[in-house]
Parts: sequence; structure tokens; C-alpha cells
Amino acid sequence: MASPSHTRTVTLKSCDDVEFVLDGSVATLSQTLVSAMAEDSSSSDDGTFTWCVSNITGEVLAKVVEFCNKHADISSSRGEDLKEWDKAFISVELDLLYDLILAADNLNIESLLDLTAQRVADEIKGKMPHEIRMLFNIEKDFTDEEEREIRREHAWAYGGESLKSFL
Amino acid sequence: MRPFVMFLQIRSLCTMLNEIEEHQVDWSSLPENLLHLISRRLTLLDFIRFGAVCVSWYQSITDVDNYINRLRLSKTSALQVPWMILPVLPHRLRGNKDRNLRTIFSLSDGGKTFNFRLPTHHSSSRCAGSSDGWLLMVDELSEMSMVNPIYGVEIALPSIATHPNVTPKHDKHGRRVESYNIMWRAGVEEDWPVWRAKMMYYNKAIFCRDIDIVAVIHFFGHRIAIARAGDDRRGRWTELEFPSNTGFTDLMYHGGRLYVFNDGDQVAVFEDLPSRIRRGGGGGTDQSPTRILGTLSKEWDGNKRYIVMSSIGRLLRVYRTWRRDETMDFEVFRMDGDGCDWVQVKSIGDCALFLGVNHSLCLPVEGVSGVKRNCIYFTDDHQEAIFVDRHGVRDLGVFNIEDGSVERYFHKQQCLFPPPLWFMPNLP
Repeated sequence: MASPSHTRTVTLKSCDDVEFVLDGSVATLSQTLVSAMAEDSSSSDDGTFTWCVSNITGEVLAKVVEFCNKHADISSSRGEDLKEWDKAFISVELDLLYDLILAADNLNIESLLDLTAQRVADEIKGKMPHEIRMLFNIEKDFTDEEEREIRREHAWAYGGESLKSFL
Repeated sequence: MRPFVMFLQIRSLCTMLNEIEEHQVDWSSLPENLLHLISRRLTLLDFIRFGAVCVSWYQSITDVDNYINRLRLSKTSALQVPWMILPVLPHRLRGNKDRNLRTIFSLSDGGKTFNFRLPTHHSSSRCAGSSDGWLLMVDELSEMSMVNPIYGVEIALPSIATHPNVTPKHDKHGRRVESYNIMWRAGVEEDWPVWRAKMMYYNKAIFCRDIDIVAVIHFFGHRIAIARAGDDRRGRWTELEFPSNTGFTDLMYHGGRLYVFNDGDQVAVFEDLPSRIRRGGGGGTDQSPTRILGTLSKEWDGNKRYIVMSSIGRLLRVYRTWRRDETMDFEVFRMDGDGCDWVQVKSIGDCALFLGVNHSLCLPVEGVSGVKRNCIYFTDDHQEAIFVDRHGVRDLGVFNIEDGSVERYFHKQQCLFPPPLWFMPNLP
């Protein structure tokens, strides 16, 4: 049986057959991998473990692996430096962000979930619903009447002006 | 579940089944747990707008009845900080004489402001507190109600006449209350006209949301009482007992406990509030504090005390000093150990305090734009000064705990009446 502590390397295989080899300690950032390794009894005694992620492409998985390597490296995972690194890491196109947040969910990597969710929230901040729809290419699937009803419920949230014009 | 929400759910399920085939970027089909992770990081304003984007996002916010509780579950900073509620500034009124109009100023939504109207019958009410989405309003007959100002919801609280030693006196037709007879002690009585009672009888009120109980400092600062929020005018106030020579200055609720600060520098802790109310009806029950936290070892001759729970669950005593109605200094002491040791601190870390008429708050503000860490955001709760000179300059601003500097808000602005206060918005 391969427990996380015994597994020296983990091989991740993307849906388009790209393989990534991770150090066992790096893989423990993913709760999905931790549980899978704990349950797996078929893996070889040489301490390797292979896991196929059927719905993540190699391009996205490469980013996930990059993130995990950085965050598992204790010597660099401190304070401001890591924050800066995260900020640069997450400055991606929205399409890739979408794949990343789903991958983080799929592999259950908490710190990546936090980072991706925060980036989405930052995009939403201060925008009106129609601006958010335009940015994320979301179709308005309310009828006009439904939308009126929803806006009436919280009418206060759709008015307002900035402090500059107020003072 | 409301039929409208159910209808939307069924419809979105159909859409999902159609789209399940192929993988593509479709933000509207994010799983609900991810939508929650995202919306948890939004202020109430952005949270509401988030819900108006599409059907599935709308559903992800409607299964949540308490926005603030959601924030508390989150490990990130509380992105929602209180709004300031203030009168519409005179030059903004543009001839509008609507006395119920108020302005909201939101520090954390990029300095956004918007207006709302209080219910008409509160045009001359006074605000005696604000907590967790509710304003505690005292109307012209000194009756208290909870008002959620942005949703126009109102809940009446038990009558002032159910406090001991307060007797309403009616006009000669026996219809309208003209004054309240206040019995200070046997043989010493006074009649308070309703308009004076409105200004001075209630001092501070808070709403303890998770147990649906309102707690008040009343009787001109000399007593504490609690009542169930759902009991309306038919219910009655239950008096708590905590001896104090000069009165009470602040009260705060956290994790099932009510903390009350008296002018003798003691903090009383009351537990088990719901059963105190049940027993209160029977009379003769013990309403004394569960325990009392001692005084500071040093003497202090400032003006006002606050009790606050820090964001990591440590009690803070905050002492405010003003000179000629202008705040000069705050001192912060943190409880160490079991309540016997208090150490003065010059830092509360990445947090900010919000003090005044509102339920005293300490919130993590790291990453919250527009709010400075290690600062105290204060409003004017100097009840006598407001009573004496309602058109005076109000004492509000930001105090930096580390270097003691003060940045004042509306410093030259006269006629800020009713006085501005902090208000933590929430759904009703």
C-alpha cells in the first residue's frame, strides 16, 4: 500500500497524455492525491504512484504543477516573496483562470483554490451585473421580468455615486 | 423555497444537462462550492450584484440567508467593513426637505455613496445603536424598534413602560403619552417630557443576531435589560443586575456572552441570555453576572470605555479621551489569561476598530482597500453633547494606534444631524 509518506514520486497524467513527475511531498498539497494514495493498494513497492486526471489538459496541469512545486518548497514559501510570486502566477487570461479554478477544485488544492477564487472576486468587484457578464462572456439567462424582480429585491445595490462627486 | 427560485433551479438544471457533453469555458456553470468560494470574498454590494449576473449565480446566493455569517466562515479578511450612515449634507439636499433621507458612505466599495429613506414614522427618531444589519431606533415616544434601513424591514421591541420605575403619563384626554414618570428611588420622582426621554433614556442598544435578543443600556445609563427581538410591543424587557454607582458605558455580544462595561471599570459577563428571559417573566430569579472581570491596575480619568472582541477572540478594553468634545486619544488594553491581566498594546495587527453608537467591532482589514490597519474609526457618541448642541461639529475620524495621530472627518462641517454612525450592512 502506498501511503503519502512512503511515496517518493507521483506521476500525473493529463487528459491529453502529458505526464508530470512530482515529488511525493509536493503531491500532498492535493487532498485528492492524498486520499487516492492512501486508498491505493495496487501501486508498486518502489514508491511510485500514477494518477490520471481525465479532465485537465497538459497546459493547465503544467501550471498546477508549477504552483505546487513553488508552494511545497519551504525555503521559498515565506511571506512577501511568495505573495508576489502568487500575484504574477495568477495574472493569466480568464479562460486559463477558469481551467485553473476547476483543476484546483478537482485536485482539491486549498491554496490554489484560495488564489483563483480571489482573482475571480477581484475581477467582479465594483462592476455592475451587465459588466460582469460582458467580462466573463456569460449570457443573461433571466427574462427581463425576472431581472426586474431580482433588482427590485435589492434596489439599493444598483444606484450610488462615488465619494468625489458626493463631497 | 420560494416558487420563483425553484422555477429558476429547474430551468438551470435543464440548461446544465444540455451542456454537460463538451468541455468549454462557461463561467455560469461553475460548481456551487466554487461560486461560494468566490462570493465569500465580496462586499455585500458586490455580493448582491454577483447574484444578478445569471440564474446559477443567483441560486448560489439565495441558499444563504446570512451574508455576514458566510464571511465569518471565510478564512480571508472580512471584506465587508461598516458603512457610515450620515445625514444628507446640506449642499446636497438641493432644496429637498425630506428628513428621512440618509446617505451611506462605503469605505470598502471604492468610496461609494448612495441614499436611502428611513420609514416615514422615524423622521424624528434617534438611533441608539447599530448591529449586524439593524439600526436600533428610538421613536418620539421613546419606543424602540429594529430597522433594517436598506430593506425597509422593521421589528418592534417591548414598550418602555415595561421597564421598572417608568410610568407613562397621558394627556388630559388619556390618549397620547406626554411624559414619563421616572422613579429614581422611593420618594424621588421626576417627569420627563417625551422628547427629552427620547434623547436620554436609552443609551446604547445592540442586537445579538444568533440568539435573536436585543440588549440595552437604559434608564439614563444606569441599567441593563434584554428582550427577544420577536416579542414586539406585547413582550417585556428583562432587567439584568450589575451594580454600578455611575452607570454603564458599553455593551458587546460575542459567542453567547454579553459583556457590559461599567464606569467603575469592571466588565460583567452574562451567559445564558435566552433562559434569563424565560426566567425573567417569573420574577425573583438571579439576574446577576455569570462573572466579573476586574479593573485595570492603573487609574484612568478619560471619558469613555468600550469593550471589543478582537478578530482572534481576545477581549480588548478601549479607553477614549476627548477635550472640548474632540477626541484626543485612545488607549487599548488586551486581556491576557483569564481576565486578571490586561496589557496595553500599541498594535492590533492587521485589524481596525470601529467604535461609536455601533456594536463595537474589530475587523481584519488586510487587503481591504480604503481602510487602514491598526487604526480606530470612531464616530460621535457623546450623548449629552449631541443633546445640548445638535448643530455642533461632530467628533469623528480615524485614530492611528501606533503614532497617536488623528485624521478628522467633516471637521468643519456644521449641522451634521443626526450624527453619523458606523453600520455593518446585512440582509434582514
